[in-house]
Amino acid sequence: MDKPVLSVSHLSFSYGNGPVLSDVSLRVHRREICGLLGPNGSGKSTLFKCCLRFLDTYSGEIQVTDTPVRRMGVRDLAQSIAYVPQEHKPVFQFRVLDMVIMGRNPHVQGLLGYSAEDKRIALQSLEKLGIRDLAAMTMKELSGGQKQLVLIARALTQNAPLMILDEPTSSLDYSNQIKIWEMLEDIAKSGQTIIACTHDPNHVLWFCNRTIVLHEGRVIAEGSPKTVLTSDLLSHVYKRECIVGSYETTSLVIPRFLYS
Amino acid sequence: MAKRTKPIGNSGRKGFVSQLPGDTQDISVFSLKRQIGIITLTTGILLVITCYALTAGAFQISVPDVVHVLLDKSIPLFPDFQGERIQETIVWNMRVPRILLAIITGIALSTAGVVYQGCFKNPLVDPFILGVSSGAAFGAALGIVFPSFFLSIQSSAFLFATISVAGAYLFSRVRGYSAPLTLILAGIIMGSLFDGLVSVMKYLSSDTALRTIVFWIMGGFYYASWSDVILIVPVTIGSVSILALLAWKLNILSIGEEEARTLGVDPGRYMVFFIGTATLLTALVTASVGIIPWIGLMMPHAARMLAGPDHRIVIPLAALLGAIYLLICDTLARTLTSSEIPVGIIVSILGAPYLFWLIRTKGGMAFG
Repeated sequence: MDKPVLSVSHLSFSYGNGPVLSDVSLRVHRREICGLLGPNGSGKSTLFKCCLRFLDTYSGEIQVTDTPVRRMGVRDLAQSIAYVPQEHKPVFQFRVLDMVIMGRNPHVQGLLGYSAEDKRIALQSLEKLGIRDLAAMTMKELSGGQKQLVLIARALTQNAPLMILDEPTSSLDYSNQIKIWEMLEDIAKSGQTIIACTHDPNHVLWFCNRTIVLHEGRVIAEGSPKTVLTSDLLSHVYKRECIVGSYETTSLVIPRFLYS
Repeated sequence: MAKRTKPIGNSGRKGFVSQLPGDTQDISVFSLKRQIGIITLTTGILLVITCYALTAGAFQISVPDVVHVLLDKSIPLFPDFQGERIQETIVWNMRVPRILLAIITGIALSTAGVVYQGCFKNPLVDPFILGVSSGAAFGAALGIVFPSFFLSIQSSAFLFATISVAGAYLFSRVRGYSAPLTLILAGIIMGSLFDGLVSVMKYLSSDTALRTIVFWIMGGFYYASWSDVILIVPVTIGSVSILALLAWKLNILSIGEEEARTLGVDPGRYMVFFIGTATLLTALVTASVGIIPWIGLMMPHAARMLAGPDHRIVIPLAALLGAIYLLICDTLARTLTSSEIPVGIIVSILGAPYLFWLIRTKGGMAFG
């Protein structure tokens, strides 16, 4: 099997009042789209923050392509991990192309700014996501879904082996949620490794080829979504009885009261 | 009525082919042409106003005489100026340094405003609101009253300007985050503290020192001299050039510290560089010409309205606009009445309606 792109070993972290992550170990391999599931407070965002070194006082080890992130400088880390934040509310409303080209920063040599090649790569990312026509618009003029796509395009432009997305569809309507996940699925198929956290187990069932379930700061299950996401597990994690059923060939999770 | 959702992109999922009629490169070229046009236009306006300012004043001097004096002084082998000696003295020893100092002060304060706003992600801050000017005023007052304790008035002003901006930022920072309004309040508190300390210095100082401090705080270019110009011009031009070259990093910093870090920009290192340089600019000009309000707030907004938020264009454009505005204000200050009006008064009186107009017409764009 390939060496993992992301490898987390025995990671523990505490903000001071009780552990948030306890002995978390996980692996994410190349071309995988891995869905990180767990209720509020289970440690999903904290795990990402440790990977990105927003939080640095953890114990254990996090490696990206065999290099511990602790040993990476800011620039090296940005060359290894591209991040799509849950919220993006810049004060200054840049043009889409100017926002996307920022993803080239870790690759720019010298201090004189972006080259024509950087611009070409940024435009290519926009085209790949089908939003090249937005290039000259400002971020303020975009809908929530378009903004999210621009941030994904910026992450693509960063050309890092791993892409981390923190609840990429949390503020989007149903149609845009599906479109974003479809895009992520296509990006993963083209060779990118993705780990994304979400609150909707259906997204994991429909679009991810692997899932990791966090509960009270521990990994309680990982593997193929169709195998891992059982009624018992989801009922235990979300404290709400859930049914994992199927409609035609598609698996889906519904809460018990709806089913009955 | 239900809100209509915008489509997420123009192309379908399959193939990812853009349906753009034309090429995005065209838009970029248009944007670049527009930016070059705006910079050229504002540079032209600055040159015209500079020419007028050289001739205008209590002692009217014709354009040919001004040009002759300038060429005589700049080119060693140029024929000597044959007019009255006083004309030569007024043009070369009074107006040229004064105009250069006004231009460079406008450039420095506007650029500092752009940098503070970008670094703090807050379009409401400027050197004046953050208390930097008051800190510099206190430092300069200390330098005036106790000259033997400090290397120079400028170094003392820089030290206390830095203390003021660092204090405002650190006091406003709670759990790693500095809220925009809290930062402004912290700046006002730091400014108020240093204003109080300046009052203490006034109270304790001798008559001569008191007069110097009072004139200095009112802000103006009365005592502009070549020695000021020789110190301030190279430092300001050098600092502004470096800031303009690194403006693409400021773009990244301005979207948030965490995002900047994930894009490979070390926020701590770059914040120290950008804020340190902006504080140096503010302290340097404030120590020489006193407190000039509003420029650092108005000009960045004017530049953004004309050219968008990209700091690569906002820094040079705001610098040029600041130079134009302060030169107009200073020229009015010395030509409106027979006795000179402190330039700070003109800047404030013209600045208030401009800011009201800005809020009423372009408020959304300027203030997000």
